[in-house]
Amino acid sequence: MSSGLEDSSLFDLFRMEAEEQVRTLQAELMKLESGEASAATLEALMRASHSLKGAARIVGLTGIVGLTHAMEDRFVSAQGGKALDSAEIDQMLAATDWLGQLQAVPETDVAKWLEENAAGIDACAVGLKGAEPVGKGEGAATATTVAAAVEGTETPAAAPPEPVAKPRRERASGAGGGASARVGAPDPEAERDIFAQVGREERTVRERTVRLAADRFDHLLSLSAETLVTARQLAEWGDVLDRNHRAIGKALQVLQDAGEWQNARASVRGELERQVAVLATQIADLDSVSRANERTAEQLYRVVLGGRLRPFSEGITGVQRLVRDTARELGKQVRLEVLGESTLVDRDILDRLEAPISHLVTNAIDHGIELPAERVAAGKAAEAHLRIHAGHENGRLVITVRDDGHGINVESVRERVIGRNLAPADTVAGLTESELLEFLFLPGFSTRDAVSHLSGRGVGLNVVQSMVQEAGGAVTVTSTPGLGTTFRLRLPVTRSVIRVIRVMVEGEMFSIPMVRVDHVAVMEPGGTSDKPEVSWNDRQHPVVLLGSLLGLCEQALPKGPVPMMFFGGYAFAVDRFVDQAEVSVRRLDPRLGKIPGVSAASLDENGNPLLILDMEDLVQTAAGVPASTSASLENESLAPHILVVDDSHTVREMERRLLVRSGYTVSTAQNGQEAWNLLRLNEYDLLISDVDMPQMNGIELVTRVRANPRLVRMPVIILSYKDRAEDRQRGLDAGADFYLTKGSFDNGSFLQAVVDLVGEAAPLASGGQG
Amino acid sequence: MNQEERSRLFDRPMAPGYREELRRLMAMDPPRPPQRTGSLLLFQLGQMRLAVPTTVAFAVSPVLHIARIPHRSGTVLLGLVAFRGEIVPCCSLARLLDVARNETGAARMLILEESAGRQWAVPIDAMVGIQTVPEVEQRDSGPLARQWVRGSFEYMSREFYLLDNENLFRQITLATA
Repeated sequence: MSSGLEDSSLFDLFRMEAEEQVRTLQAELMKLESGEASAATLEALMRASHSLKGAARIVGLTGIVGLTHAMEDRFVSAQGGKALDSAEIDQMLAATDWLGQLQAVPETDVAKWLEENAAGIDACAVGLKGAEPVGKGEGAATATTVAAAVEGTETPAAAPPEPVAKPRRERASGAGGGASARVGAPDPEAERDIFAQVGREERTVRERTVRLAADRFDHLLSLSAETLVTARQLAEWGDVLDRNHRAIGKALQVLQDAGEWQNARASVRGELERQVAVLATQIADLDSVSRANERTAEQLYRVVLGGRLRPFSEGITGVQRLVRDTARELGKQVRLEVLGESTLVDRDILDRLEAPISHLVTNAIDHGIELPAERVAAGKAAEAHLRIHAGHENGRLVITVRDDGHGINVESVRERVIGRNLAPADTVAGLTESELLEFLFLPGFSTRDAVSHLSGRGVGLNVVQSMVQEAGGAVTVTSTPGLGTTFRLRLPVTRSVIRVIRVMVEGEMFSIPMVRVDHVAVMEPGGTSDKPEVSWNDRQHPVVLLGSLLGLCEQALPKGPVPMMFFGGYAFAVDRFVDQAEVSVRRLDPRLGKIPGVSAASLDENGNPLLILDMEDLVQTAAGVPASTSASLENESLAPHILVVDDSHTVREMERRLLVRSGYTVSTAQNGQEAWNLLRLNEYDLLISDVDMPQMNGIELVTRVRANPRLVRMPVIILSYKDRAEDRQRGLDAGADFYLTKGSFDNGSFLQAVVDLVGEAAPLASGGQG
Repeated sequence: MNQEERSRLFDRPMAPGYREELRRLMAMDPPRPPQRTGSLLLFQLGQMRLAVPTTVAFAVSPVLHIARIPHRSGTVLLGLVAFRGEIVPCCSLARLLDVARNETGAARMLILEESAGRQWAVPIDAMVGIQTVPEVEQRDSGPLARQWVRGSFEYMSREFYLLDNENLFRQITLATA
């Protein structure tokens, strides 16, 4: 089987190698700076820069050859006892930033990028040489040394690269010059050492690796997961056969007990006995094959999955650097400790981890950790302790980010909640500490008055929560005044095989991840027919018909007990529960775009497609969560809430942006059916609808609205491409207050119609949310 | 040619109906040259007989179950189907081409491959066969809109319409996005 890399260009291969080596360089440089370095650290640094130099030479990246050569030279001299100081480490990090930046450049633009940045890269290489204390070069430049290096100080100073791991990095102070440097051809000993020193220790550690394109690997994993599921179904099939076997045995017994009054009976019994014997053998064979198959499938799945699992440390490579740079910038002293670095995490999840962890780390340093003097005054060590811990707990990946700062002032959160009118004062007074801390994850919620480039916008924690939820996890926070704050992220270890509850909805089977179901029950809803409710766990839960929410039907809740699943404060009514099952998760076809309420797909035991529902999305649809974010939160209590319905994403988005910019709160729906679901469940001040839409058109929607006693007075605007007089008349006859045509659409008349119907909203100060 | 002859030939009065005849001739489409084609897969959709190049016809398979997609199924996109262990979007060619047909009666589906790994399933009523048709004529597109048809040809005394697969894929993508 090929690796899938046969189509990769040489530059792609260089890029892959550079990614790995830059990671090594940055991690080892951090160790060097923190004083944890050993001979192995310098060895790893030297080897990484040497490998990069060779790879760059193969693809003809001369400037990069010069840069990596300079790095390698300096590491070799460090191995000879000339340690790197802090400024030199800064320079080395700047060099890795250039390498990191190059990885992001499309192959077609590489030559241009190198040309544009040649001065900067060469200056960086010269800086490394200049800082090299062993002996300044006396014209001993090698063939690989770039022209700029030969020109020495005449190279114009160029801007340093933007760091890759984090966009803020202090400029390195001037390179330490003065001391003579050894320049030119690398020490022949050192060159030889690179190959000679792959000693016993390394041979035992290094494994043979094969590069495999990610898509091909995913396909392999998907097939192995499928094999596992099939193997388990085979075992179930064996059980069924076994039951059949027993049933035939019982029937035979009955036949025997009834006596032998017919010859035919004897012959039937004889035949049945033969069949039973054959069946018994077959069951035994099937059982043994099925068990062997299941074992192999399980093993195959684990091995393939193992290839997807990467150590946690790979997901947070930039964090060490981030802590260093942020702490320096804020004048704080922080020691980062990472525990559980080797904890294995699914690559998909790992890819999503760095951003939320970076947010939490920045937050901790900016908000939680005090300045050294304040810490000393509070009786703490001047250097703060920030700890990231990763581990597996009950089959879940748990990551904690803990600081020993001053903790979160719960009373200040309480005041903000009341001040922002997010909940009534008497309710807020009764909230527990953990309930209050949940507000920190709301969009636009910040405990800071001032906004800096680091924090204060109230976006970070909301982003953390969204990212963790997208990965199928949850995040919680606890804090102790004076002692610090801990964020706890719980995530699945893998997302390739999950346990689901399967339900039937409108003749279609859907699966719901088990972790997304709080409770299942068959209950009779109470409340009104418009807003049915059920009580569970001492709380009233609105009942929503899952079929209706998915746009598959439009019908009332049936009378009597209904199967329901509880999640996110709602009870989702289904037609029936089917079973629990294990399914392999497949990505939805990207050609279909985001499907509301659906997160992924799978195949059932008969090989039919089975959709996996996105419960968070369905809760949001049920709640009619507005599409606007933090900015609309400010105006939430005042701004009219408008529902925009259009099957064109572009038109919908254009209307939404226009309205949000004018200060309105906006929810959107893709068709009449989806809009009708939202209208039944939520309160809106205005409906703006297109006419031609799938499932339920705009005229039908408006007719329904006008026929509903609760919605009859709601203002309605129709915005359509149809501009004939009879179309206009049809819309107005259905009950629309305004009929606007898209052909002659202009923002002014559209907004004027909205203002005429629901009044003005306070426009956003700074252009609003995009 | 002398002056008198020139006047007689070129300045003579226009023949009656000449201008109208010229206008009519200019308004007509010139006959287009027959288009060369290769191997085609012939199938039936309702009463319509259609063909697509075998280069894009990946397979013909029984329809087992079309899983409806929330908020999407119902127009051109019918749902998802399984084909050889992969999940493939399934579209109604009949609705796309506006061909009257009993949607529920389809027993087979044609798997079209737009490019490597990019497949679409379309329910069809029957597969007629695979035929090498040396050339198709740029004739009338019959009951189909002109944009769908590359040409037509006769096979077993029946008129078949060769679909313009490039336009077909473009329209399927637009209709399902």
